[in-house]
Amino acid sequence: MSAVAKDVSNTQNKTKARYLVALKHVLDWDQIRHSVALYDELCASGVEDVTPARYASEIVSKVRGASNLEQEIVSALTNELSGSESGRQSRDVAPSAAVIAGKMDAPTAVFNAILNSVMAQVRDKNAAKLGAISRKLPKELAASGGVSKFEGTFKNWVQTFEVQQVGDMSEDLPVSAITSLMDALYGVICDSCGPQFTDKAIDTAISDAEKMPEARKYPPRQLL
Amino acid sequence: MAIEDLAQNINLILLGVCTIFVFFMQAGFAMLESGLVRSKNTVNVLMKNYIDVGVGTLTFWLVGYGLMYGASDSGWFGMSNFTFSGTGAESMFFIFQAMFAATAVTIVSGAVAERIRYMAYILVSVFICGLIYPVFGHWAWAGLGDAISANSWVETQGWLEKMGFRDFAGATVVHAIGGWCALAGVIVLGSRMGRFTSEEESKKKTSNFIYGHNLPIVALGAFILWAGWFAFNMGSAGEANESLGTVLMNTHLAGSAGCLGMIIFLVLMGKPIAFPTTINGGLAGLVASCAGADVFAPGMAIIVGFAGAIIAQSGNMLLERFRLDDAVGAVGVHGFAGAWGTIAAGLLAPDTFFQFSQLKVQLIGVGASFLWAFPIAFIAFKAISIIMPLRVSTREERRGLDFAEHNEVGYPEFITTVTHQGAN
Repeated sequence: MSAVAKDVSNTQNKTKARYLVALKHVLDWDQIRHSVALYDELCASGVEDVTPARYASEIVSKVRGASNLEQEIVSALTNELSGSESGRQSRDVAPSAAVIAGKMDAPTAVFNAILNSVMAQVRDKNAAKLGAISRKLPKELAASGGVSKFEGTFKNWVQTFEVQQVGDMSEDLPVSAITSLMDALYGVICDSCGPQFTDKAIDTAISDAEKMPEARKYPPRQLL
Repeated sequence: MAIEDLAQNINLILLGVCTIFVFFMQAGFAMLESGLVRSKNTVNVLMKNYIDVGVGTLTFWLVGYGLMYGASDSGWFGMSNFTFSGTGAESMFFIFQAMFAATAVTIVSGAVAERIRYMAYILVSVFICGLIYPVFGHWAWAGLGDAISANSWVETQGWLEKMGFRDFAGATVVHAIGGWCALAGVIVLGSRMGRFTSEEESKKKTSNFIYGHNLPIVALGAFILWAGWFAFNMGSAGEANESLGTVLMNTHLAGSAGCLGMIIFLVLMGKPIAFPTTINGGLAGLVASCAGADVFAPGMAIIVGFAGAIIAQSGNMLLERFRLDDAVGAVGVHGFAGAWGTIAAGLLAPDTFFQFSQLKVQLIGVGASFLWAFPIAFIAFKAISIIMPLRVSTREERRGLDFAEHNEVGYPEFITTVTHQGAN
């Protein structure tokens, strides 16, 4: 892929992440799944800049139940995008593609959402910390016997997060591994950002994750 | 009623009232310490302060009082009065001393807050009240018990007491001993997660200060403690006479000077005049006053309190430099300021003003307190960690000790943070 094409792709991914945050507030889960597919189709058809108006009109015309929501969708997409462009970071995190596609089991999806939210909050607090945490987390996992085999999965997650601002677990994780991962996450972020920020970030992430459909199958508070 | 009997009864009433106030100091410690921790650990701190009184008193009754005030030839430890069964005036003396023992333990509770396992802490209380505190107490104060005990078969004095060691109300016997035990606990337990940054990041910033969740409660605790301190020092006089005025005045002057000393020190160091640190200044002044509150001239009490606060804060800063996490600053306030107050009682008291011989005795006493309490407490913490986990797990620390250790939360109606609610 050429450098220009890579730039376009990165921009599209970031825009997609922000649009997903916005859509969470106006559409239900099935509608979001269809909307994501539409966004991907638009990008694949060569549209470099998917504007809020264009995307909203696609959603309204092709997603069932969204026909009378055009104004709300345009407004939500525009607000999210303009906020992001003006430097305001939303703590709200986009659901990952794998979660939207229903490819993860409930505990992994919940953990994935928490991880995304926490990392986004760290980025908002101090973007420089994010790199250090991303480096330290896999090391922490390698040091902890029970979850060291998921080190590769976690490294992939970190790389995805760094590029797309939203990470995806490439495999389902057992609950025991997830709780160990939460411990590792807590320890590393505590070291970098302090325990009180960490407590707050995890509280916020848990609250956000409780809105997910998967939270009905696996309550996020189990991970506290 | 003969005038002597009346005087004796008044003395007993004084000691009884002081006992009640010293007991109430536990409430002060509970408020102070619980306010200085995160809300998720509130109940745990309160529980520790509460159990100090229960377990501490029972242990002191079972074995501590005998070790401290039992008869001894050598002056190293008492060997009678175990499972105390005295009556009358001696009972009053016992209960007052039991409150002192509980105070020594409570000092540790604040320092090790937010990560020690509750059951392990109870064992620590037993060690301190049953061994560490009473044995040193015997060295310094055994003669007090000998004077009041009906069971003593030999004239008993502690070896420090025989040398002329001066510690009127326990600057070393209670506070420094508690402080050294706290230091051992802090070292063995390690710091709270995230209190200090990892080695990799420590070039820029070494510590993350953990703010307390309720400063008004801290203030209430500090005021309760200050009021209790009057009784703590006044009760140590043992009888109602004109010396009580001197004791009260010196106690108050030293506490006041401690507040001012801390503020000036913070300003000179270019640090913010933080509320908990200022409170620690006042407490350090009060601690420092204990050893010589009965003899200091007012000006000297002010100097002792003023310097006590600076020494306490310097001690706490030193601990931080060594990455030792004392959650409430207890080691500085009780250990360092207590040691200073004891030295000052030899150095600045009118009858021994700058006398090297008395200073030497005071230094021996302070050194002995450290050499006895710190290693034994260190071994005790290590020994307990072999029997049971001393520290809560990462997950429990993350969840908070209120839920992890007691299955409850401090503020169920008002809690603003998300909490684990058990399996569902």
